[in-house]
Amino acid sequence: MDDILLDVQDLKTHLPLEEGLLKAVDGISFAIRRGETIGLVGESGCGKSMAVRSIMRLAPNFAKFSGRVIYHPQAGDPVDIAQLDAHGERIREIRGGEIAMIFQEPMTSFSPLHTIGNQITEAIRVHRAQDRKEAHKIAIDLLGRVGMSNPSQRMSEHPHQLSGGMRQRAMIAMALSCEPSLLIADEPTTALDVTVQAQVLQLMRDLQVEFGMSILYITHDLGVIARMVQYVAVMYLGKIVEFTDVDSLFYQAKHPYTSALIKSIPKIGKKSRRRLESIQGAVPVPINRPPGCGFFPRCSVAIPGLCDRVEPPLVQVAPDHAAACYVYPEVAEAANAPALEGQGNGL
Amino acid sequence: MLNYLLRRLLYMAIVLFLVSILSFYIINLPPGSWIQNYASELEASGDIVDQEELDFLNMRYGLDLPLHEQYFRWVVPLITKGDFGQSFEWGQPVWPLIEERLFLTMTISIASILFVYAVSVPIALYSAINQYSIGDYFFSFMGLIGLATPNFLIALVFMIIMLRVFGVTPGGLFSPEYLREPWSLAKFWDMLTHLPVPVIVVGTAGTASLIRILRAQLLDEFQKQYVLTARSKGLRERFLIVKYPLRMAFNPIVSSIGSLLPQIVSGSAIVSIVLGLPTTGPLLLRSLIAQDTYAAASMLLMLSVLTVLGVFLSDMLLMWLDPRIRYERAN
Repeated sequence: MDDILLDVQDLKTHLPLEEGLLKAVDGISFAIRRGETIGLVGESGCGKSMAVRSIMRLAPNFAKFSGRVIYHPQAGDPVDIAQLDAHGERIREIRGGEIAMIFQEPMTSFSPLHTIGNQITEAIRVHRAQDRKEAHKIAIDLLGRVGMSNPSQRMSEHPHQLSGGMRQRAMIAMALSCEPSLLIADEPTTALDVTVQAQVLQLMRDLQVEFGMSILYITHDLGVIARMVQYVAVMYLGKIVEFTDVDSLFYQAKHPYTSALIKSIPKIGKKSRRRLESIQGAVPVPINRPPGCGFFPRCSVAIPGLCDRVEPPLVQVAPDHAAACYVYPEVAEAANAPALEGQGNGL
Repeated sequence: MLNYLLRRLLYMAIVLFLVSILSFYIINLPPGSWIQNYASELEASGDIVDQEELDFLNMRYGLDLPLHEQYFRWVVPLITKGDFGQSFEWGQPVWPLIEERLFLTMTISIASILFVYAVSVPIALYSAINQYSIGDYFFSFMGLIGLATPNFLIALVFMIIMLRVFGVTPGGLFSPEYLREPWSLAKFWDMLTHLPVPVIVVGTAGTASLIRILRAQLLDEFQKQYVLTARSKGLRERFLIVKYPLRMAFNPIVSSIGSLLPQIVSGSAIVSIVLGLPTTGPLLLRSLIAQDTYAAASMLLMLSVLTVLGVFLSDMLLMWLDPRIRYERAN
């Protein structure tokens, strides 16, 4: 495991809001190896975007932030990004240069007032080539590689002149412009239509091989997960509730939330007269959340008196497979909190 | 693009034509005319009113003609010869009367606009970046006071301060020795030294409101996705704020430059009276009261010309700044 690129340990991002404390990210841990693709899945509002923003130190200024984000650069000593000054020199070197990001909305991710070329070369000139002409050449080359027709003309065009798919390609070109070791993709295909989505996904996979980078892929779309990633972390209410490889996720999901998610995927060939399964209830508001498992109110196998008292930790329940649910004795054992005493045989 | 420009110029001409009719009509709405005012003034002071003289004046200025004929007597020479006609009140041509005043009004207006921008942009930037800080609250407080205080009151306060602290009488735009002098570099410099007080007085309310608008605009823009994109590229915070959100926040402000001009011109009329500034404001007021039709209508028309030009310029500026607008207009 010496080829670890990014090691996130107990990352917490709490937002003190007027309504109360919002635990957007509440102690998540995972590691990404070089060249690997990890998926972060969850419903809207589960904290996945805030988690990756925290990794880049792009969370709002007022957020309370703790934990460790150890980044292992190709050369040089590991850095704990969590310890860096959020506006400092080092984090700015890492942003864009070593960890790059693509966002959900290609419509709004570019400034409408500046040309595509201006916005791409800007990143190149910060990290790679000071020379304007050289940066321009690199940018044209990249636009060609992400499959844009007539790249040199595109350079002088403004975002509103491009289609959604083209803008997302330009966004990818911009993110890859400094050859990052990790690409964080925050729902990059959500706003695109299905055929364009397939093209962009394929493009990202090709470029991953070409550039040899790792990808942290955030999505709520399990279909994209199945296509893109090797390992999956399932997030619910700011926590990772299950972590496993992609095959186990689809065929041997351990956490009741994950199983419910998978059941809710529409399948071709299934009798169409049956209603699509959905998860009962709604995601609770994560402000001033009661103790216990976040999924408790919606869970069909919940154990009253246990699940609503103590939060289940994420524990390995099978080889290469961790889940945070008291259905598994390992989890209850690991929790072993004083609150559990006197519960008798809770399981 | 050329098509668009030509269309705009045509619209401007139409607007000015309508403005000239409307202002001419409104000036003549009050009962009586300048002649009648003149006659009753003479009567009040005990002078003998010479009916023959009145008839002569009536004929000379065409005041006994129907209104539309009077209008054409004014507008035809204006278009063909650039002749604004005679001022009844002053007994001399209108143009030399208003020429210098128009220039001084423009000087004060443009200086005020520059002052407004120079002060409010840095303050708004500071307030937006340090939202809810003590400094932000301080500037908000000061801004609201500036917004709420009438300009003429600020003018009076400034006059007292200038007199008590610096021992100078701040009235007027020129020192007495330059008042009757022709224009020279020394006179221009003298005017510049007199400019700060009127500019600050006229610009205060505008500054206060622009700070509020720009601050809100910036806070809005800071939330936008493209700011996050810029940060994720590793750009310096200061650099990216100026390049992206500030530039975006400028759009609505640039589009308001045109309408700022009439606001400042009309807002500065009272200030001009208080500070004794030789701008168009006081003269316009006097011509309106005296029903000095040609002088009043000419001044209103010239101010409209400046406003329409201001709107046109701000539109051009907007097209230059925002490629989306350029694209839209070009098609």
